[in-house]
Amino acid sequence: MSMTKRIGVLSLVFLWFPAATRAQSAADDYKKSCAMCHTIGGGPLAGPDLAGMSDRRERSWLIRFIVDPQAVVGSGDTTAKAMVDEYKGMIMPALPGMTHERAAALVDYVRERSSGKSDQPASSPKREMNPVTAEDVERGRELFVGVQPLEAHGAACLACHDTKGLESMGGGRLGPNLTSVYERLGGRQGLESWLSAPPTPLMSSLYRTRPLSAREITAFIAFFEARPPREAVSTGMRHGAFSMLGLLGTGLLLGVFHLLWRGRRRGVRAKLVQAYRLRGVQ
Amino acid sequence: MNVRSQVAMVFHLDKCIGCHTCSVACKNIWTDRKGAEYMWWNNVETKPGTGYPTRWEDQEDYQGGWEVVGGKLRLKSTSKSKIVFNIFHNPHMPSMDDYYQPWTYDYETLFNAPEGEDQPVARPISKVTGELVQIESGPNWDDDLGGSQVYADNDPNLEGLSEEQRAQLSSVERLVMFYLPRICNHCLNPSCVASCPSGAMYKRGEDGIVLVDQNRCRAWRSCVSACPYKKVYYNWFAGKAEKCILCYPRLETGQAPACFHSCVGRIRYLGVLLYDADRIEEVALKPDSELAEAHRSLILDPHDPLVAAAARANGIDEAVIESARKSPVYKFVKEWGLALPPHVEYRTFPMLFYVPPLSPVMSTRAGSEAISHGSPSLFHDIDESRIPVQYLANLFGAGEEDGVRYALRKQKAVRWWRRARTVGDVDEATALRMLDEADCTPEQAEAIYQLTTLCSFEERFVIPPMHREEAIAMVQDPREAQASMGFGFSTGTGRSI
Repeated sequence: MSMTKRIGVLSLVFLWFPAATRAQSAADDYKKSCAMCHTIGGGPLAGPDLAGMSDRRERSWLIRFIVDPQAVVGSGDTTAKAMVDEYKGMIMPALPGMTHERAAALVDYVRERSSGKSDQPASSPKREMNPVTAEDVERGRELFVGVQPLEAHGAACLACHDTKGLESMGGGRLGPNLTSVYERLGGRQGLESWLSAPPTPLMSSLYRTRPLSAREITAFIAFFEARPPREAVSTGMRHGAFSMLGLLGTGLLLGVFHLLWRGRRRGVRAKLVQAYRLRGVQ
Repeated sequence: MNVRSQVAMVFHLDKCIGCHTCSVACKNIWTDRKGAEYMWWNNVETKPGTGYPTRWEDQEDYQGGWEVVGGKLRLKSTSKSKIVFNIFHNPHMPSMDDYYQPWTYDYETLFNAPEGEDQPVARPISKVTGELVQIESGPNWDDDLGGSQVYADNDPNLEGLSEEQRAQLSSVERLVMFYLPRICNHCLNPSCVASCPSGAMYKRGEDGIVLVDQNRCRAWRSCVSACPYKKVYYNWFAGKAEKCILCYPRLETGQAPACFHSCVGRIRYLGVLLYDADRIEEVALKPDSELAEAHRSLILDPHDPLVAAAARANGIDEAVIESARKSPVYKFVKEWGLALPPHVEYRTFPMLFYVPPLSPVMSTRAGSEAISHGSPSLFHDIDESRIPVQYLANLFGAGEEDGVRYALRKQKAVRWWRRARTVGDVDEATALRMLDEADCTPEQAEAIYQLTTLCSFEERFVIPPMHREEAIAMVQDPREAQASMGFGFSTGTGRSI
């Protein structure tokens, strides 16, 4: 076989291979990256319904937005801003490893699906919508605060998140407050798809290897659904108490140290001079 | 009998004039480096006074030395359990204020100051921070300040003195003081070595010099608080403890240590002592009142053939034993009983001994009568010295006056003996009676006189051949480094551009 032929065959293989996998991967990619927040014709979840999005927005804008949502919002784009406002300040998280090509494939995939009117919601089959049981709510609370460990040994939510109605010091402040997460993510379905494959970089890196089980997700949904009427949450008071407690604890520790080391020496010379000065010149 | 050799020292305080030449010699050789500015491996203190660091003798405060608890010898400053709680903070450490803020002067100003109304002044600058400082104390801040109400009145050795005695010590125009030069005592039972958690401190086998291994020191500073004499210092720049090394490089080449060599008053004597290491613990457990005597009993007679044989069996070189026989220290400490260890109650067994100083009589003039020396008790002036015997006993006898009184009486007897011989205003019979009462013979008196006043360099410093090579051969094969790149932690030579 001559060199040119060989090169020809090889390049054919290379050209054909990505083309064949592309459609396949776009479907997969959609499932993994988009379906937890979006539907196509299934109504909005945490994010808008994507049906007919290609009619509403320009293709290049869509691709740009998918590649780096933060940048588009940051650039002062009015369409993006309006969307952020609509979704209570939530911005679509940047997807790890998203490229221009992948985004284009996704846009194509969504357009095909919406034109086909395959009305099927993209996420997993709709879960049975039983009313939440008190048991589930309690289990969800225990999992949230970490009284019960997660099955796959992931970190308890409390470590990073706060939610209204927790006892004592409340939860962490690293992640967003989850008091109104149920509404924000569009109810049961949104919450479920979100929890089964958390899309934000931090959450996904933490829970990819330690996924939540179906039972745990049910418990969490129950817990969040049963939350008391959602209002704007004020945790300022609690964090003030936290600081005060910290100060008190520090003071207490210093007091204990002082008692433990009360026999420590504090220098002599200055004291001698001081004592002489107090006595006065004789 | 476990015979070891020790290079020991005697300082004859009756001869010290307080000139600080020793301190300067030492400073110039060893401690003029960054981080060592405040170190005075050798310092001279005025007594009564608080010394350096301030009130170093107050072990209630500094917690140095050993104590006997339940029949066992224990470090005052630390223990295995204490160190757990104090690992990041040693609560008995002297502070910079107890030493002093080392300083220099801004001499540049004298030359560079712009023209102005006033003379330029060189202001003091801290050698630690480099900032302008207010000088508040120094290493000999109370130098010659006998009678100072800030310093002399707070001397810990004044304990047990009556109000009258204290008042006498500082009464105007009758002030009295003497000088106490101090270096590391190279103790037999060093608490600094015992306290070191890194095992960096050691007592050299062949001559008993206590040293800090600069490679092993991990800056715990336990030695600083454990040494009751406060003679281990911490170099804040190098992060290592440093102390007097008794100029071992000089000793190894047969020279006296720098402070000994430079001593103007010729107060310093150096020589080998042989001692029984097996008895150290037993002696250390004795009550305070017996300590000084027991300490002296550790020192063995090098003329005794049994001792010499045991020394040889322990690997001590014949030349070292011979040197011990000529040791002036042995004479002062053991034969004559003139020299006493400082603060033996710390139980470290210092190997630096002091001949306590005589002082003027605490005289009261009756009318116009001149002071009479013709008291029926020939030694009345010992107990009437302006420096009370109790004070000297606190310093050199763990509070027991007997040893101090013995040394003072003998010194006085020798003086009167020589006076009878040379001046002739004392009759010989009285002088002989004094010698007899002071437990001294005319021959001994002559010997004391000779070694005190007319001593040559060779008589003062009987430096043994160090036989460093033998000491090294005991722990390391001398051929180990043969044909390699040298000793120590050198990584070897290599070509460079």
